Amino acid sequence: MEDLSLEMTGIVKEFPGVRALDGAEFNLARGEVHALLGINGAGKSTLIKVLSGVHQADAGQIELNGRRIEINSPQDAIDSGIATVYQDPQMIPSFTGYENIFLGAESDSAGLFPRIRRKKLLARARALLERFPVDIDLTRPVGELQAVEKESIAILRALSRENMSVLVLDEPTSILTRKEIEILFEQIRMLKESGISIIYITHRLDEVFRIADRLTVFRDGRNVATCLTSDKGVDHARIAELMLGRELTNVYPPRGRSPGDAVLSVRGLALAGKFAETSFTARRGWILGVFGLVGSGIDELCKTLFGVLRRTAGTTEINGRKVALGSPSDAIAGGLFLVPGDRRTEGQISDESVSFNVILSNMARVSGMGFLIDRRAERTDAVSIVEELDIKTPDVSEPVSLLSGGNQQKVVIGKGLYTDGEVYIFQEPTVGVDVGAKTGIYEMIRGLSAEKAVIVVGSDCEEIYGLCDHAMVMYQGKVVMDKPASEVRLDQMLLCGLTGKGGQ
Amino acid sequence: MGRRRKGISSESITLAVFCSLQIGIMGVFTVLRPSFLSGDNLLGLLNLMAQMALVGLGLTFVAVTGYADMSFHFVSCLGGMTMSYMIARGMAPPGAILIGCAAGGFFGAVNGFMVGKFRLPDMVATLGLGAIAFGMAYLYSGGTQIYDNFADSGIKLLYKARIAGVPLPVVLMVIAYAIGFTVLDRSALGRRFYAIGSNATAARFSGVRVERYIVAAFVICAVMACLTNIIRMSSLAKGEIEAGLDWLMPAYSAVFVGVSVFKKPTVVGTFLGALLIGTVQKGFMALGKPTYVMELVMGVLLIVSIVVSRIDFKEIVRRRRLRAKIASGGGAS
Amino acid sequence: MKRMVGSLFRPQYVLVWVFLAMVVLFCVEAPSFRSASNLIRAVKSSSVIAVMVLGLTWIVASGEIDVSFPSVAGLASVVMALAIENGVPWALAPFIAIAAGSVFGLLNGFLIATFRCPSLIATIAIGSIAMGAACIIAGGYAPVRLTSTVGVIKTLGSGGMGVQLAWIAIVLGVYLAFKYIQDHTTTGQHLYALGENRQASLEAGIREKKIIISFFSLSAMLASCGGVVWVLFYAQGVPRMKGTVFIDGMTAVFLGALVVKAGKPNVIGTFIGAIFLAVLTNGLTPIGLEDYIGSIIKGALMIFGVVVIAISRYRVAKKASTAAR
Repeated sequence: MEDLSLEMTGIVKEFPGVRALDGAEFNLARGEVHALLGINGAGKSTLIKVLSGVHQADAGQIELNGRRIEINSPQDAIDSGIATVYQDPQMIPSFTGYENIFLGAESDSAGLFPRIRRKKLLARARALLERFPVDIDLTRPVGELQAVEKESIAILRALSRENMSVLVLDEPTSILTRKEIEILFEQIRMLKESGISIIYITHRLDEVFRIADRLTVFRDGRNVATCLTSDKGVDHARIAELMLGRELTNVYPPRGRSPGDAVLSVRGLALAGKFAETSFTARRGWILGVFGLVGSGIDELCKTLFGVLRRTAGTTEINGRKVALGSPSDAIAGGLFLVPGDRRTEGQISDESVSFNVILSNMARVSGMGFLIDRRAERTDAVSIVEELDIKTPDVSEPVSLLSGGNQQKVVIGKGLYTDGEVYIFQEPTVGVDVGAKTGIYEMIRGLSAEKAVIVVGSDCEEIYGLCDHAMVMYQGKVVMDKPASEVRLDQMLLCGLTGKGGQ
Repeated sequence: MGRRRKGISSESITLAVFCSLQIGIMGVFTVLRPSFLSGDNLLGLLNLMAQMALVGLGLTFVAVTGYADMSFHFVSCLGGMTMSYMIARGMAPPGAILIGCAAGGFFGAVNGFMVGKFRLPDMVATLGLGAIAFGMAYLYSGGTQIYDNFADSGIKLLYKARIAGVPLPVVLMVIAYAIGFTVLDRSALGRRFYAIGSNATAARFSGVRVERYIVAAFVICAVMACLTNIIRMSSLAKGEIEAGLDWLMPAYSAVFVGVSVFKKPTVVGTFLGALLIGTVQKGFMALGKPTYVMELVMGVLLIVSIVVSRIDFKEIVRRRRLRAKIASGGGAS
Repeated sequence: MKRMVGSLFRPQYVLVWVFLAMVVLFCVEAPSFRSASNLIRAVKSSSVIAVMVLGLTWIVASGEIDVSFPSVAGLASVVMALAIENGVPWALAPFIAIAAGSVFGLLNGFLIATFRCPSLIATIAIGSIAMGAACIIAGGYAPVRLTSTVGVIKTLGSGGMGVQLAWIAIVLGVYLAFKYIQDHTTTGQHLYALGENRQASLEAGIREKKIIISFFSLSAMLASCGGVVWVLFYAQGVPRMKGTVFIDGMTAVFLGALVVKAGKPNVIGTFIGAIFLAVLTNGLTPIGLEDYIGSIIKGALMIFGVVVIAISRYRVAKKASTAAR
């Protein structure tokens, strides 16, 4: 390849106990969008951190526009012309767009109290807009903007320095709606035309084929494949193979044979403004899958069922008994448990130990009269949960923060199992969990459904489809598909979630 | 399952530092005044620290849930004056004490609602409520001292009485700490308090009734503060409106010396904090120094303990070992 | 037209209306309120508080708190009073007092920035040390009275309305200078950024440590100035400031935050808050209400203020989320 804007060769980076990058190579052609893929721990985030100056490589070299450069700090990277936009970019909500773009770089003058000239800043920002025509109002406080507009501000901020030639986008679409992703792609195409080369990190394979020119797969700290997205033989399955390093086998356990008795009966559940009257039944032995993309209402559905959000209509019955679900403690008492979608903020108490987390929702089991905790019983119970779920931890007294993503997820699941509930809802069950651990969780979910009613909810269509026996799809707050999974194809399900049509 | 983590935990190190500090200070005072270690004096020390320990215990609950309370010292003034007013009106001490604490409990509950249910910023909201409580404390006597009936009613017994030779305030402290330790360190309730302080959202998703526990924490803090001030007024034998204001500093100091030792607010930590500060106070009193010198020393102690706790001893030792290894030709692996 | 009138009643302006109503009420109900001496008292106390909490305004804006300001002001007032009593020329004494107080601000800044100590704890500790030091220097809790009021002190202490207004003009001038720093310099911009989103500010390269140390030093320096002004007005140094000083100062900052910048503490707002408080305090006695009612009113106003801010934030968040649909 001739005109390379970036070339990284032989990059080595070691951390205590692990070789994150093992002679990694990566190159970026001028004006291209190059997708970077790999499972958690494959090295792609480390590569980007080396490039953006957060880490320093132990060996190897980086050439930018043909010239060798040293990157020893984030400032070096920016000075060299490498801009990075991370996931869910942080901003100052009450500041305007142009104030956020130039935050930290408002003035060139030194001294104790350098002056800000707002008009000049706005003019500079407008000039920036001429180079990168984005449709956005720079004078509104950023807190009032929508997600894709904030993303645009973040990108403009990244490009606001002179001589930017490389833009790194780290999972830019994780907080965007479908519509907003289109807008973002437009902007990316426009950036390409103005000569910026873009590294696009993502888990989402469909986006790769839509926006990227080339893709690179990382595994075990090395570049295992680089090719054009238009190359023959390059499809989802092949990429997954490359990411995993083995032939892709069927990761999902076999489906259930027939529905068991009904456990959970939901009638007319609604949350005004988020989702309309929804009714369904969850049965033993018959996993209910609910698929929906961002904005479909599936997140609100889970939280309303669990009592985190207050419903505006509808009833819930578990085993024929009506359950009042005004709070999660009501739900748990009624036999319902939600394994939430955002583990770190909703699922786990990171600073506390594994055993603390596991028993938290049902401490009555290890305390007589629900008061004094029997520590030996706590340990025994925690150890048995850990063994049952195959959680890898040195000891149950270790803080959860030390565990890997997959094991953390298992701890949250363990907390749910410990409540001895009747109905389990798994929201985004394997987000942030690498492919190796996913299979274990799928098998566990299938095994659980033999005795309990299980609902899996999420935005990963393949996962929901693979796991469920009965498929529901939500689109903009309404149920648009409600059929046994055997009567639906995966692509039909996906299409239904994307468009809201085709569910009949 | 693996074995328990070997090696010395950083908590043990800070605890060791604390103990050395405590013993060292006692040693210094004993040298200056040999009577310091006498049984009588030590009992007096416990009596002195009892009040601080009590108010610190209440604040510990709020600190564990992750909030700050800027009202308890103001509310304690209200509680104390309420009690004094009741005594002056002829009520028997137990009733007066109860009503005084109940007044505090009410304000604590309001705090808990503002912060827990309505998510108002804790410092401003509690400060505002504290100002209101402090203003209301003036309603009883226009701010003047209340003496009536104090000598006759027996309220002074709260401070003076002895059970098996131990002053009543110390007994109360022991009982309160026993209960506090059981609840916070050994019971399911305590786990929930700590869960809220660590990650309130995850606590809610785990079935913890977060708002109730926050209210409970603020109520406990207010009630303990009122009890402390009531004991103080009993020792002064009058209702003095500004007596409660002095508790802000000692309470936070006790709790945070504890935080320096154990990395998070704990019942044991607050006790140790009260012990350390009480020792210094007693020592200075024995030497005849005025109270304001003690306040200065308290501030210094608090800062010292915080600074020391931030020094990561393990990191320093590790770096020394690494340097030695490199110097001796080992090289970084 | 209706919209304009409606906007006049927006929650943040409620305070202004309350203020006007208060003034009207006091003037009507109590002629003594309007007396020159009372107004002078009001102006005096408002300018003292205004100076004392000017620095605190930014500390709160950056998301921290400083409870040491009454103690630092007290220390400065004691140093100033003693210096003058011991023959130090009155032009020099203020600098010594301010320097002494500012040291505590530096200590605060270091504890909070370098040792990552929570600002509440650090300032509680430093405040305690400052007050202890003040008492030691003053030899007790009693105020240090100036035995001879000379020159500037006499003028300010017992001067007429004209002098007071001139003084207020000076204070206002100082405030305007600081307003410039707040709104038109990068330092002010970064301060607000830190208060609103610390993570984003750090990522943007804003030097948090430098800002924290600077502003805590500034706060202590201004609190010391407040202490110096106290001596000039009241001819005494007070090692132990009354509990109301703290409440008044915080109320001025929070109410001011409400009025001008919709919840963000700012200097002009604090200035207005200080005036408001002074009028409130000095109006209660003339209309026959006890002082402590003032404490209750201040507390209620503070709570009202945060409730209003919370409601408006909730509304803005709702607006943003419905816009996305």
